[in-house]
Amino acid sequence: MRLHEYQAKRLLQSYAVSVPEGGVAYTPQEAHEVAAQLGGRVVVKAQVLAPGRGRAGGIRLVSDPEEAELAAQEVMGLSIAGLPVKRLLVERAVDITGELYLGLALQPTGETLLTLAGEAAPFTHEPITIHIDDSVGLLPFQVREAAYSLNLSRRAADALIRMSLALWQVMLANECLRLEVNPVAVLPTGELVAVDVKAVVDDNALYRHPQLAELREAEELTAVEIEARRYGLSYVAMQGNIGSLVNGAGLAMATSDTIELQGGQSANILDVGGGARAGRVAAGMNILLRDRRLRAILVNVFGGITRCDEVATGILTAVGCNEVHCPIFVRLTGTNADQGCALLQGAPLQLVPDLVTGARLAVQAAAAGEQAGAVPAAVAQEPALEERRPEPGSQP
Amino acid sequence: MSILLQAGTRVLVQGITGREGRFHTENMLAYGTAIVAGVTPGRGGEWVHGVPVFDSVREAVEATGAEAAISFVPARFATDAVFEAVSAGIGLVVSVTEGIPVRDVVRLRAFLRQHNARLIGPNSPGIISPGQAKLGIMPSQVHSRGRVGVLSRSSTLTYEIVAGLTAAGLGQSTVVGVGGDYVLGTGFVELLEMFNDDPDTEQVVLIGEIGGVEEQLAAAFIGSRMTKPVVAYVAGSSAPPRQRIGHPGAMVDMEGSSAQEKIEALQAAGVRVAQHPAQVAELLLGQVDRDEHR
Repeated sequence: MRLHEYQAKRLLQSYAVSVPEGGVAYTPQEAHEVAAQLGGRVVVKAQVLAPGRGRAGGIRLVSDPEEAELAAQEVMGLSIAGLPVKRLLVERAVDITGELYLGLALQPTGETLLTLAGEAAPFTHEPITIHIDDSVGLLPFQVREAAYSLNLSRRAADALIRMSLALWQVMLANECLRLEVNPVAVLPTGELVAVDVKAVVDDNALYRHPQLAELREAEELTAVEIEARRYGLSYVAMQGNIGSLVNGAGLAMATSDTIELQGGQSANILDVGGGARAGRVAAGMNILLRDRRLRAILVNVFGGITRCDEVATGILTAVGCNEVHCPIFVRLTGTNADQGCALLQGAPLQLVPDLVTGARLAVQAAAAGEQAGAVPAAVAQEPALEERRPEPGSQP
Repeated sequence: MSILLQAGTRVLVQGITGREGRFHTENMLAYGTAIVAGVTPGRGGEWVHGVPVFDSVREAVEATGAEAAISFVPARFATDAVFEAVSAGIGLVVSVTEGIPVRDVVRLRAFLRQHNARLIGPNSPGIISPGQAKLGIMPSQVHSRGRVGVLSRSSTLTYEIVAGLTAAGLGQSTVVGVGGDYVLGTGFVELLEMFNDDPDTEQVVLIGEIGGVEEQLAAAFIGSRMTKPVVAYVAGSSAPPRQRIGHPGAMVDMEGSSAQEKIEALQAAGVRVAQHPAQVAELLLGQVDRDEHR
């Protein structure tokens, strides 16, 4: 789970890391109030979980409360990477003499790395990476070495050591996977302030951090994502027009990849998970059948602990209570595949023998659907798969 | 031979009295796995499908000589279950459980190293040495005994590819699912090393996906030390960046984590990479005369 900037800053503050003074505003009026309390120049920052807030105009430097209110109004009218801006962070502007980057990241190898870089003069320097030994944690000398090689003053070096050790504690205490301060502002006094913070916490560990789990409410999810999460589905939206429903993340990705390999464009990756019962499958099919972008649907299930008869029942339920507005192709194999296929006889869909065939038919149907429909065709034609196989004659 | 698991490996099931534990114990027994004990605290003295249940792993190991374990213990208790198994002398633990905190796996890795034990998973479908034994939840019928070693980060995609191998007459020595989590007990490189040394494995299939660096580490090993041919498939070419796709470990978020980068790294190491799952068997057949396979 990614935290909002204001949430991450509160975590850091509780470990005595300096952050700019400020407050959260949910309306332009509140932004005015916060700015008035702070006095002087303030920064109005959109709180959305998307990269590129600055480029999108979501961060504004203003000189008084009236301007803050105006800026707040504009920023709250923005949509950044498709997300509406619902809350703002209004902070006192910081007088900066230099900027640093400080990031902690747990690697897939299990090791945590601290990366330190001077991103602007006079600290310009290649990033420095510190390997943290989990048995002893981050050690002050490791940061000190790096700080002096960045040509920081004694005072700034000491502050950097304190901030780095605090971040490591935040990381451990909250089970973060990533924690980044970018930039760390170096003040004329040599003090350091965390100007922007990004934090990712481990979803699997939320059960033992109730204070973090509460923050989940502020997560921004689309209506479809909320519905998917409610039924235990993993749904990722994409730009194309072919929907798919699959059991298992790897197979779901492979299905989407095969659709694209055949020249089509995927509209989503939907994984119903292992051992899905009819209800969960129906919930997934409902999401697809309500998606008017779709020109074809491909269901690909390899039954292991998932039973194909349950999948078939789920499909029938969804098909029965939704308009079938595009062709559906279903491939069922593995546990109880015969029963599943028998259940689907007579249903408004086509059974296919394997993934490649299903993908090819879905791509053809989507192309035909685009031509017939009002929406202009967006599907690029690529050579058929058979023509791309390597080394003819390699097969026995 | 085969790797990790052979006919007769003495297996213990943690969480044997739960719904999943019972169901898969029955399937593993039907496959011929030597399940000698089950453990559920507070349920010692019971029997599940003819297997005696003990209150602790230590007690079970003392009574039965169990040497490998598979755990169906729920996420909140799963880490403790692995610590318990390793402390009692179990050398190989398969963790099927989904949702174990990443930090727990980091702690486990250090502990496993100290005790010279191995964890497969978490979030793994397990291990099968076809025709010998099964320590996992995969559907038995798609496998057949043979000389192709398979290692994978996913479950159903593995069944799909293995079913294709079996249909093409390419049996498997051992199939291992390393798990779908962000940090894993055992990575690809260690398994490649074992397959390289296993006289019964002639070729290897590596099934990767977006996220992490396992495929890059594997490519480096294959390029420098692997003597057996490797065919790979990497899922997620079409997946959008910065989005987690089902598995906690499957996200394009750092250098080297995209499917394209992984495919290029593997190809540069001499690995032939399939464009779609069904092509894996075709590539294998192109490398080795079919007569060499039983």
